[in-house]
Amino acid sequence: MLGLLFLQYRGTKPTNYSQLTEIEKIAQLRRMNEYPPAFYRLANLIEARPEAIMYFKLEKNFLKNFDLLSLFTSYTHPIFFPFFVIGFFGAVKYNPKPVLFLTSLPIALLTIIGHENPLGPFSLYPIIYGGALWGMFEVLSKFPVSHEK
Amino acid sequence: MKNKGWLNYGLLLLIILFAAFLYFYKINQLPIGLSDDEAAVGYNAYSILLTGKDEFGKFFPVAFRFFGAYTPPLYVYLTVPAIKIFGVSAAAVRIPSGAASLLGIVIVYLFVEKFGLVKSRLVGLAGAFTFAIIPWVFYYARVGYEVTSGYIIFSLGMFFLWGGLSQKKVSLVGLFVLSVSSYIAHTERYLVPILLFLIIVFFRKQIIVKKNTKKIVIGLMVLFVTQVPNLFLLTTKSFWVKNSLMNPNIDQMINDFVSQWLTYFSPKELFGISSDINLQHTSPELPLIYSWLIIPFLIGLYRLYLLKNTLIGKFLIIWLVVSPIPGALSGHFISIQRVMPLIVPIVLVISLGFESIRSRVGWRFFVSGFILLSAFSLLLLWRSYFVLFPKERWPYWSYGYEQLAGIIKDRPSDRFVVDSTRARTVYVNLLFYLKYPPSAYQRLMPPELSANYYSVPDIDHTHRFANLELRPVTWISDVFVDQILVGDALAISSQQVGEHFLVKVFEINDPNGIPILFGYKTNPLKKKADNRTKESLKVRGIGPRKD
Repeated sequence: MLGLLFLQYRGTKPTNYSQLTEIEKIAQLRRMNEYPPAFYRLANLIEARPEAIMYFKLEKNFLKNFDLLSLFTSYTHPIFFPFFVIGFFGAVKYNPKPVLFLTSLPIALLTIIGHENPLGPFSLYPIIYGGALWGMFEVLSKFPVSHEK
Repeated sequence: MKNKGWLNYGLLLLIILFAAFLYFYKINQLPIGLSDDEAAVGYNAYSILLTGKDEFGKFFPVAFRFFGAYTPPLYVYLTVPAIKIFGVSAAAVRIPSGAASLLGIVIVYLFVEKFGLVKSRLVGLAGAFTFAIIPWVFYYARVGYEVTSGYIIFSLGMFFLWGGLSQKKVSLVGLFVLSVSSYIAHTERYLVPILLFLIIVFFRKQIIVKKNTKKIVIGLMVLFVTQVPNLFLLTTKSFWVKNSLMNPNIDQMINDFVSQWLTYFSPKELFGISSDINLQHTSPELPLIYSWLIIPFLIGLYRLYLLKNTLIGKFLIIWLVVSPIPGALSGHFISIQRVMPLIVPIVLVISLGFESIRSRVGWRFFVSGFILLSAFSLLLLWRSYFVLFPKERWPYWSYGYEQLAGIIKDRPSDRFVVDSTRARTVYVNLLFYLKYPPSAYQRLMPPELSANYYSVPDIDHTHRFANLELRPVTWISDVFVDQILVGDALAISSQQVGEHFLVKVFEINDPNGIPILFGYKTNPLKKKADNRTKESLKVRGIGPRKD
């Protein structure tokens, strides 16, 4: 897992928290002007403060970890999704602390560095495939096994 | 204990009052303008109130034609008393949605508290408050068409249905309300049968028992009787108009379905900025549900997984999984309006998460954290909806036509031609704002339209009523008639203004102060004289020099 996290870190173009692109700057200026004059301090606080900009970028990166469409169509197959849900929660129930710790590592890394990687968020794959595999075992274990006499 | 109960109901009342403030504050002005869909609801409700017929002259329709969508009728009928009380105004069209959303708060509270979904009453209140303030609920509580009432009445039906199922009974009220919800919006029309089928399959041991025989028979009769209008519509073309949204290619349809279903469930979609491309459906920079609620949601999902073998767990899982099906079947694009029945089960899952968090961190820490994060969320809501939304999303709300109607009213002796090339449906906004007598408008409709109402007949897209016409400008003839041409900068260019001697008589600005609609008075005398001069020069062989 640590190796994967390292590779994810090396291959990802990190999110720039201190600078805005030209388009972002234009949008920021336009938005600042949309506030009523009496609220200019609040406008500055929400739209222009470095802390606010950083918060919105972190929030965006964090939520991208949960993009089911791209995780289960672009990077894996939709068939894995139901197995993943069953397996992941099953694994959490079985052994919560290590599973949650291992899951939070790539999520934390991707939240900080962002998702601009040509190979996608591959540090999440062990969680997805591991969860799906666990789910498949759980489902299969529900079927009775016949033993030859 | 009794006092605690009253305290809870008192706090619930406070939540409802606060939500009423959120839902009805400046309801006449925000959303800025009145969307075509809202205007259609408003004018048809006005028409029903005065004549008992819709704009096309159909007596109490069981589906409203509107712009060809054949919308289930109940929201229009619910709007009739609002129009009677508040007059023909944006507020009257939107108030039923807000009122339904207030009912939604009570439904969520009762679901959480009464049915033992969680142990703490405090969590019931937190769930109800969360429902009240999440942007998805807030935004659609202020929109005057059927989607909001549809999902609320559907949720009410689910509440009664669960009330019955939890006691291994069949709830006749639940069946009746669910059946009624299928007359409010397209989503519920498709969702109710799918959901009832799955409920019967998964709860057959609770439902199909000897003591329920009488209720099952009565329930089937209730469903049959209440579905008679839908069964009638089923035999007409109008029922199937939304089928065109489905992809005829089966492989493609499955692909679309899977990807849409995954998108609707994606936390990125729910807690981040929605990928709905119709900007009328959302407010800028505002997610459907505040991002911090993803934590209780994920914890709640885990709790739901643990409850999967209980009746309430099964019930909630079915509700969650099935709700996006009608939306996922309806084409390539994400439309958050089509999956609104997801809202209540999601809030119930979030409440499950709240319960876990509260039991871990203690109620003091839970309450203070909840208040802090809710205050931050309300700040973001204010920023998006009351500051950015009117300045950025006005083009999606037919802004400017209320002002135009005012000008048309003030100049009764002038004739207006309103260019409708890019605004084919705004005729209904002008009908609404001019309060044009519905009986007079119905007389302008061809009689065969009312006779073949449900056969989806083609209608002419030009409209002529009062002192105005809505159609594309015909430059070859319109400039020779004394009238006012109205259009945007694309419809009437500055070159055309000069060429045809048009005189600007008014302009309407957007909320940022930029002109969006222009009114130009024609000058037929000058134009005819100019034409005569050009003709005579042509006859005498004098024309522009060709180098």
